[in-house]
Amino acid sequence: MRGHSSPSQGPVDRRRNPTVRFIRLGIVLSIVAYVCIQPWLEHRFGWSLPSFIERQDELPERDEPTAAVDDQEIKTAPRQSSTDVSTVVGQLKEIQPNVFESPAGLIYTPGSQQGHRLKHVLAHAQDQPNRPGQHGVFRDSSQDSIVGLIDEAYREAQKGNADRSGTDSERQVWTVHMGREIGFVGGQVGRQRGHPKCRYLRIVLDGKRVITAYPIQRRNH
Amino acid sequence: MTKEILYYVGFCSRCGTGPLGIRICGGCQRPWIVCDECDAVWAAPDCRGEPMTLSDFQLPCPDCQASLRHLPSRWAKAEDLARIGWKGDVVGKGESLTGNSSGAGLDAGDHCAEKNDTNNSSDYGAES
Repeated sequence: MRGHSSPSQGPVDRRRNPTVRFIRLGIVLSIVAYVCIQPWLEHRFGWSLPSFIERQDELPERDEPTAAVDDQEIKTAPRQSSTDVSTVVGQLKEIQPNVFESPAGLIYTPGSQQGHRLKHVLAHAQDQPNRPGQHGVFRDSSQDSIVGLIDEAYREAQKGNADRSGTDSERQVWTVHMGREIGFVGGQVGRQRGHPKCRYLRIVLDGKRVITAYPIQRRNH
Repeated sequence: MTKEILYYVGFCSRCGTGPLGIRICGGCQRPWIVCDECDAVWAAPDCRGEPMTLSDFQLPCPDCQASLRHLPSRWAKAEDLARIGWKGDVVGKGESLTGNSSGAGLDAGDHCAEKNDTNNSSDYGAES
């Protein structure tokens, strides 16, 4: 009988051992601390750290617009007369004919191959698998969401939370870590790499005028 | 918007991701390197130094002032590459960035496009 009792006492003894308990407590506290400061570290230093908790709002990557697009089409404000100054299209306010201002003060004007900078940015609402290089694609493809995300990045950049490499004498190129998945890499490179997720947003500005904006995987050029 | 094929010589040092396509001026037939993402322009495929920044609305050719954006300006075709002698600089080809015509709440954009050619006198539309 003693021979049986001795092995069963072993684990009990280890559980009661203060050293083992401290080690276990230390591991648990370390995990909790990591989970708490991981977003801050990513945001502050631009690191991409492994995550213990998968965010619930993450959705599978997609190549085609989801049903949410159709929902948004219904929600979009009815078309306004373009001659009315200060009309509102979604979040955007028309401050001059065909010139729109976002809530954060960014300006969307005519320009680009698409005819308007807003359309140019919204070209990143869908993947273009045959476009050369990386084509950043917004996860939520609704206009309001994209405009809101760009505003959020702009506000962060104004607080100094942006990488400014690429900025030259004519354009501001800001890359902002958004602290969450905002899209994926599409285009030819994205297709080859399995559409990696993007947590950064790059904005190219001329003053407050938006030239382009899109999700990007890394902050570096 | 129809998808156009562009031959590209690399990627933009300004925005970091835009393919640098060869654009043929519809006015003087001179080729330029134009970023498909941010419209940065270089005169030669080596893309040395800071790019030229042209008017965002028209993207006027630095030589003849014809719009590089609008027809008859276009992305270079295969036959253009031999003519202009830049064939050896091309690293690949693919589709240019297209407008989103099928979804994503484009009311503002569609409505903008209708007025695109008539509002270049606004403070923002006619910037330098």
